[in-house]
Amino acid sequence: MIPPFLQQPNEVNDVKRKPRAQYIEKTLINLLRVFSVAANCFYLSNQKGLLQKTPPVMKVWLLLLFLGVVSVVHHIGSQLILLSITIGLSILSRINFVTIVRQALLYVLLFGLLVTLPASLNIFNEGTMIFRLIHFEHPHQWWIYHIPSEIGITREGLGYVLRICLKILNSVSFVLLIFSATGFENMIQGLRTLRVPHFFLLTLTLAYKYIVILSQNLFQSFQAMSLRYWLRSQSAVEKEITGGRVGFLFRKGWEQYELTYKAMIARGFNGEFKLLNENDFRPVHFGIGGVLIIIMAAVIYIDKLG
Amino acid sequence: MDPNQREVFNLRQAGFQYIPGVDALRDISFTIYENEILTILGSNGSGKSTLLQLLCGLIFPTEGEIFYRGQRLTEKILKDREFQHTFRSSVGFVFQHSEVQLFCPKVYDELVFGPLQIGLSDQEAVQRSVEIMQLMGIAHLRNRPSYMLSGGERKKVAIAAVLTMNPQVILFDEPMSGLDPKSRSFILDLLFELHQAGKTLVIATHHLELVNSLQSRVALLNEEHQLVRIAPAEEIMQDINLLVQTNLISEYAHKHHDTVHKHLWYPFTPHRHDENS
Repeated sequence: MIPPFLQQPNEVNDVKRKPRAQYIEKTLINLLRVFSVAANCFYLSNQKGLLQKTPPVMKVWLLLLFLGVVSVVHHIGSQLILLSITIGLSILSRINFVTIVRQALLYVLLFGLLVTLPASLNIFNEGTMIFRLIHFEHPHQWWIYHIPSEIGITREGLGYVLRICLKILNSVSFVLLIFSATGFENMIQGLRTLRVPHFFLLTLTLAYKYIVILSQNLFQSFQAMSLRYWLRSQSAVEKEITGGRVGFLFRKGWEQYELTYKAMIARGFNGEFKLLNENDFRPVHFGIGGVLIIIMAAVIYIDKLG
Repeated sequence: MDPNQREVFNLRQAGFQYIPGVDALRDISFTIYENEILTILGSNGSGKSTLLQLLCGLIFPTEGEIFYRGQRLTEKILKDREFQHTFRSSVGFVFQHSEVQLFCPKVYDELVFGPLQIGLSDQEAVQRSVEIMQLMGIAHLRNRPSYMLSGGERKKVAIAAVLTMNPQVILFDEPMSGLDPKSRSFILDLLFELHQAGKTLVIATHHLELVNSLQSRVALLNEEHQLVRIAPAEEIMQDINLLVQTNLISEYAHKHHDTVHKHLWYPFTPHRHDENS
């Protein structure tokens, strides 16, 4: 019954191994990070810290309040005070602020530094030049722009760039802090108070779960594939196999959700979502909220004083 | 069966095809009575899950008819709000793969979902959820997202999510699949308790141990997707030829010291206790 080749020892031929398509592997590893981020958020949100004990509803409102304050304060000193509030909350919530800053830096770079850096030049903003870049013999006029004989970075322009970068850093790091201390599932609970339609919230939940589970399945599928296929033949063949696996997993996901829809119907769903509205506020929560509101108001007042 | 028992489901030559021309079920006729345990026994692909979905009104027969308490189950009648409310409140379905029926953010949300959809107040939904969590021993999982549960925990949460609706009829699709012995024992005890509480249970399985434990009426499906026999469990279990024909027992190879041989393996011997013991 057993074919003859299975009864003989496996002879491994000395074949030149070419490296696998690293971009596929890296993409899938990054996708798997989605699951590890979700698991990490769940772990952090169950730590015994200040923000973890705060009801999700309150954290949502706190987040909106903080983002509002970040947008209205303009001085660098005020932004630094807000940054210190974020650092303080992360320490009290036992969340590593360095990790949060590292994640936020990408957004600061993309949406802060790269976009606003030209504003530091004296072409766009007048001011005291602190660093000269280019020197021309005489000034030029091009379209609506007057190009002076010296182009360089101004103090005022640099301050403007720093303000924008700090605003982005404050906004993104506070969002990440709140999400780390809350977890996605509890954030959904908090969003209910903002009258976000229940249909949208449940769709978000299903989409989040789908991405997390899909990332796991994709990686496992690739691991299984790579156990049997490690020689790089033609990239077209490789893409076909990989595309086929991804297509299969999406198809499988679609079938899963057909069954999920049936399960929802079996439990009474008739097109209108009805979710639980619960608030577990205690006096200490109001105290914490009150303190933070006073601090935010103080920051705005200090900013207005200049 | 007791002639005074009320009919819950009545199937008359019901059949279903997922793809035209390919039978998933064929010519199924039998009745399910109130407060009984009915086991739908069949090998993989015999149509057990399809039959349960037909009973739950998730799909509708392509041939024949299915009646629920005298009312014919059709797509049209299930769009009627009043009937839909009554039916969905009364008939619960626990899927084979628990993950498909866990779609809320947290375990607690899963348990309150059903009662809220059928119109119960927040307070009552919460009260039921707390009691069911205690019954199932899952109170410590209250705030856990479903993708962070083990297989046994998911099964318990899936069952709990249906029980909070307090259905009178509960359909179980392979309730023991993927569970360790302790979890199986828990589920079996739960099934008996639910039956004693007056629930009608319909259980689809291919595990003969479960049939032997439940000692219920058995509807046996064959690989041709037809109902072969409906009889008490003891009668079905003693008909070895029938079990072989329907691919529920088979020959197994096993080893005695240095010898490997095959013979028909009947995993256990049905036993009975005297009334006085």
